[in-house]
Amino acid sequence: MDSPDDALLTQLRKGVLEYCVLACLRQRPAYGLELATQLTTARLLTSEGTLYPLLSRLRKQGLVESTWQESTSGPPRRYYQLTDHGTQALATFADTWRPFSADVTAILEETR
Amino acid sequence: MNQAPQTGLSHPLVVAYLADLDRALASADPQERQDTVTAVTEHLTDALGGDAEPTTEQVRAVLDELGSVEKIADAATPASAAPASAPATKEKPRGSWIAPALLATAIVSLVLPFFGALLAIGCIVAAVVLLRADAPRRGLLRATIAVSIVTLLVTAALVVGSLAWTTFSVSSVTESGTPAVVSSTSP
Repeated sequence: MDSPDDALLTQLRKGVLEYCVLACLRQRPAYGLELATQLTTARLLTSEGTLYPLLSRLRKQGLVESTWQESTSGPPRRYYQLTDHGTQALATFADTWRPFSADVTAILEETR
Repeated sequence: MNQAPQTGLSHPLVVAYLADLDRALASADPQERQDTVTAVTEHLTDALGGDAEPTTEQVRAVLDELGSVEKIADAATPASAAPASAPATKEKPRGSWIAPALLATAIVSLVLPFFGALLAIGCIVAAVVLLRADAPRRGLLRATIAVSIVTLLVTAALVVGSLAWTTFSVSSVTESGTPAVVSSTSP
């Protein structure tokens, strides 16, 4: 069903998606549907549901925690937010990612 | 919470989807399975909750965005890959032969008069290191330490005993004036 392009993109996303989730929570907590929509709009997530096993793992690893908050419409919502450990992991990723992506871009340009 | 009809969660497609999702996650890590089903239910409550009675088209669109339950299950960690159990099963066979071997060495050290003390010290060090590393068969390791300490005590007693004997012999030589060389090495 997936084209080769999709398969490549799926592989590439796999290692970075968790950090993209952490990045989405950098400025403020968010609830599940909100995160799913944001990541789908950013074209980083194709099946919204796959976000939830990932969020469960991030919580287990202590990078994210969740709290219940009252909503103006409907029942209370579970909000996800970064822990200190999560903030630190995101910073480490960002420091690694920038030179890494620059190196990949450079080699693609140089060998053109 | 039991009265969910107005949220759209009672729609037959949603009910079937959630049941399928739970089944698809049967072999996933139990915590992830539970968290995922709960979070997807919340997602559906939010996505469909605004409408009093969502149409089948709306429900289909929301479920499409979520993706197939198989894709979601693929994103979960398999239950067998739980990190806690893997190292434990790996370490057990290693520690389980070391402990009896150490105990045997400690017992051998007991019957070797002086060289045994060196063996005993080695056994104590190894057993303490293993105990600190949380190795299995802790009883045997403690027994190793106990036997090694007995070896050291016996050795110490032998050393003190022979020193005392030598001193006694030397003093008896000086007192009697007769050579008593043989006695210092006798027992």
